[in-house]
Amino acid sequence: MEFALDLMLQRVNEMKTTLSSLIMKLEHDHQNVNFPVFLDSFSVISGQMNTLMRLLRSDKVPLLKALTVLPLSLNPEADQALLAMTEGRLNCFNHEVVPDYLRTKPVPEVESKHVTVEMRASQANQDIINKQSAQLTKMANHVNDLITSARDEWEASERGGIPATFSNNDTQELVAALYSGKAFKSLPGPPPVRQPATSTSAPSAQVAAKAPGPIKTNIKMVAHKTPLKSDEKMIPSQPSTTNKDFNELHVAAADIST
Amino acid sequence: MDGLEPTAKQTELHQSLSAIDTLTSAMKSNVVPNQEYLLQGSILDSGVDILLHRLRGLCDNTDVGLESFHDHEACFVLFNPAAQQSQPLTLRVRKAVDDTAAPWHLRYMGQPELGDKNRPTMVRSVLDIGVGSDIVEFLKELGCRREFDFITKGFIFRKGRLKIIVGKLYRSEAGKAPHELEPVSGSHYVEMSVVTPTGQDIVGEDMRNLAEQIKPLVNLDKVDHRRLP
Repeated sequence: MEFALDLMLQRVNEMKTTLSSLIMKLEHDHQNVNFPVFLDSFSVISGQMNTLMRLLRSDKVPLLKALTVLPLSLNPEADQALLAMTEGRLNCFNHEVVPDYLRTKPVPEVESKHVTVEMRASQANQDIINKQSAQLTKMANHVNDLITSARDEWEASERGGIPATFSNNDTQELVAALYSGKAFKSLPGPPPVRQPATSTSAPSAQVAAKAPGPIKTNIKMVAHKTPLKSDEKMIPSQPSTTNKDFNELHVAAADIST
Repeated sequence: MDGLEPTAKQTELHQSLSAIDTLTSAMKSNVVPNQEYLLQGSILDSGVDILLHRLRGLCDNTDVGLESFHDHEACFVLFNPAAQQSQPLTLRVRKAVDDTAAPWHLRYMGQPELGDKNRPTMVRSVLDIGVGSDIVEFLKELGCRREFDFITKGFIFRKGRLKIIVGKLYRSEAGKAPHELEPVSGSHYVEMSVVTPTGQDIVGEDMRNLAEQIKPLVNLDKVDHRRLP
């Protein structure tokens, strides 16, 4: 008996420490308490509760129901020793608190209410119970469906919202344009020689088709120039004309920016 | 007179040889930034503002506002008649349209290597050189063919040594005002890159991390250039 009491006291004290530390945390450190930490404390407490219950049911503990607790003395005066023992929760042990603290049965009214409820539960018709439970299941399923469909919609809209900012096809197209110039030269049958001046006056739809024109012109110019110059003269002597060459294709673009 | 000429040539030869030696030794000691780590993606025009806003928050140059660029790029190809099978050498010339005082830029880009799945980014060899405006003439004299031209406009961001470019490609056409340029697609391209000396693979991880941070908006990834449509 003594041993069992010690064990119980130990378990209860452990639980008390955990609870008070959680309360401390909530009261003084609540900005740092997040939900996982909170749940951790809860699981610790519930684990301790389970250990206590297992201890109560184990063989080492005598059946507590069979024991009676007798209040030996009631004292209407405040008792300092009691106050210290209960850590300030109880300051006197009188006729008012004894029924609450030493109760082994519920209050008679509560007990009678409980009995009526039990009676009603046992008297209910099996068919009605089945019907009601079926109804409840149906309703629960309906609500579940509603929630699932709402979640699906929400996730779909979320999923639809993210890829809207980029497209892999465009990536491929742009990279191809950057590295092989695909978008800039895939233009069929350009006229062999065309001055840039003519293309400026052309409508925009045709301009795209004529773009390679100036390029060809340049190649021709190279072909003309190379035989004229001696092989050793790789570097041109007039840088100003070069600048003109480059710019002549894109006069307008340069003009506006300068 | 006859005696002088060879000496002059010899000095010239000697100088160019020593320049090559210096370059070779620099290459050997891995101090030349010639490896570019690269991730590519794109964003629809409708989402660009959100992306720019996000990047301004993430990147270093937040205090100066958006840094924009407007470039004209031309691609030159040099075919090697001796080796028909080999890839032609491509060179890119780029000039700033919005800043005429800036030097022109010549860049060699190799084929990007994707590597295996564990490799965070593509890697390609690049060489960047600042050049004068007569580079076009020079390349033509070398026998390069001008393949195509285009205009890029957009914004540049820096984060540490990472460079992020959000830009739009336009077909380059003579006689067109900038606002009537014809865009290539309804998206902006997004490119994250770092140019480093050989053997600094750790930077790829940094790039992956930043790419993850803008993932909901842009899917920055390795793009296989050989499988492009």
